[in-house]
Amino acid sequence: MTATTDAPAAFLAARRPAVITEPGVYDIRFEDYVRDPVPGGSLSNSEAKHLMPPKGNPARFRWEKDHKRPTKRVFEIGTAAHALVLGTGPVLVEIDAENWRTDKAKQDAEDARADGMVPLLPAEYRMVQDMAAALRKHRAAAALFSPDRGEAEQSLFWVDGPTGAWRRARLDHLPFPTNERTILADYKTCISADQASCSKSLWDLGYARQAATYLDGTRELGRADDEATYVIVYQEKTAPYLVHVFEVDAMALQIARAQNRDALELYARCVAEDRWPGWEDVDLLGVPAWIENSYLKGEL
Amino acid sequence: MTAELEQFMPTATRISQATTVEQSRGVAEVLARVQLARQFPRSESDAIARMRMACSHRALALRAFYRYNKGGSAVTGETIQLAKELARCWGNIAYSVDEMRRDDGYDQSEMHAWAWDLEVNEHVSTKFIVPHKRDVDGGSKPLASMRDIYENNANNGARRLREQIFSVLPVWFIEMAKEACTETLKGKGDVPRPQRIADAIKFFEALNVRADQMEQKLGRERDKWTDLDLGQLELIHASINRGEITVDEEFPPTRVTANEITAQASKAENGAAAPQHFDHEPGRWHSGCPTCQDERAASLRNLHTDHDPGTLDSDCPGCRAESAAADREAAVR
Repeated sequence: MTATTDAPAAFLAARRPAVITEPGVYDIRFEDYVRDPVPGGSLSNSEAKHLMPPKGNPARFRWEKDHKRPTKRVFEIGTAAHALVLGTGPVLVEIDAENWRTDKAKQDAEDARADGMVPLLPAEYRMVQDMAAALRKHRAAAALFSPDRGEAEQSLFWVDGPTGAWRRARLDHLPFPTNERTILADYKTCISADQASCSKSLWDLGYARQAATYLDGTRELGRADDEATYVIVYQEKTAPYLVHVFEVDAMALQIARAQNRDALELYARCVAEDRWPGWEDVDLLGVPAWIENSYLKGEL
Repeated sequence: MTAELEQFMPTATRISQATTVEQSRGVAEVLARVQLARQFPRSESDAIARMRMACSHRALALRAFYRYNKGGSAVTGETIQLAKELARCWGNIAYSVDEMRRDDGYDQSEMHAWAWDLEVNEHVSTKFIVPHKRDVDGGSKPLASMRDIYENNANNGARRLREQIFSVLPVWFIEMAKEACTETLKGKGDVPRPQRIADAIKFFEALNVRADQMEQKLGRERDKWTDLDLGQLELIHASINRGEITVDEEFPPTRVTANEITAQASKAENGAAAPQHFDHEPGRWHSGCPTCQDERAASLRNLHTDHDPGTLDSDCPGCRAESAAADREAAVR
């Protein structure tokens, strides 16, 4: 067993970032995961969405990978909720201010971020605490993220067989290997956790592709078999912070796998050629299909 | 009769001599077929006998029904192969599907599917436009190759033709054929049922479908499967092989329930499902497994980078060296 002590700030500043050269499950810092610790690069699900149509292309992907984007408030609240629900991640700091408009509040927030913490207004701080409490009251959701069932925030790195490209994924919760069926779970905060809204997010926000990626990774690394399944725990960000657990169905996974395959092949081609093109040719532009259909039916 | 046929003739601004000859020949041929049909009317009893003979063949019975997934449930129906076979058995029926015009400017084909009972002059037809596109998410995508256009036209045409043929056949004749095909799928008992059950399980094993999934599908345990159940399985197997439906659609994994999740967590909490140490790839550890933790500690000596955020690992020489260096640097400042 290893003993651990709190590290001084000087040590943390001098600490060497992780480098991953072997496939496996790694317990690394979130910053190291985002930075992509694989020499030569790897493809994550959130990066793949910058690569693929309709909005993405290789040039956008390259820029996003090379430039760190400023933190969005909506993501910070999500990160805070994740930290409380999963019991890991950054420290939450309550900033004593009514809003972010004053210079002091902005400076305090920047200082907290610089120390790797998540700044929250008192109302936001109460909100994420209430969210975590509501989730713990949900029988299935609380059980899914139980520390007895698995480990939080684990990073997976593996090599895609057909293309040879490195892939990476960071799971909210990776179950311990047991004789039971592996149930992977991911936590999402949302405005509305009803079936229609969540179904839309499954496609629009790439959650289905994320599900396929995580299942692929855990299977590739021997942490899950063909029977493994994937559930998403949605929680609303307004009181009473309702929780809705969904299992991703087979058709969604089939479509997502096909999308992931396209992304991997495009990524591997761009890496091999070291070329990350934008929209270089002249494309034909028409009206959306539904307008064309209305016109053909004589409705316009 | 000639005037009736003219409505199906293509119109064009320039018609070659060969086309004119072909038109005349076509008109003469159809007239002759109508006359022959009326001269030699069908015998319904012979038609039924022919149909029963055809439907008794497993090769036809297996292709008589299609099965695909739409909106989460299986859609089933009769195939174009069954329609054509029944038209042959019924007799005196002409049918065709034609591409009347291909318009590359508008990327579409004008198609015509029709079936004609020559004996009673029952004629049904439909003209339809097939865009040279296929549905994709959020719209449609143009078809690039001639082969794709041909296959798209053929698929759309076959579906329309099937409906036209079924429209001129008597409903009772179609229903009788469906029953005959279903009976054929049940099997005649030449192979003992336990053997057929074992064979079915073996066939589906090759598709990674377990016997319990098959039991769930059919709603009964394997030793209670009926001949009809086995026929259904054979049809599903054929549909999967033809790519009409996927294994996951037909045999969805067992749904996750709140009870299953809480039972897993409860077992883990009680230590019943304590993590088992298993063969590891480099860098794979589980915090609940003592063996893993020992391996991890050993590996940290070589993999200095893999620490918990904000902690120093006292067993790691790299940590100790860097900490000492950081302390020295802080002291100098």
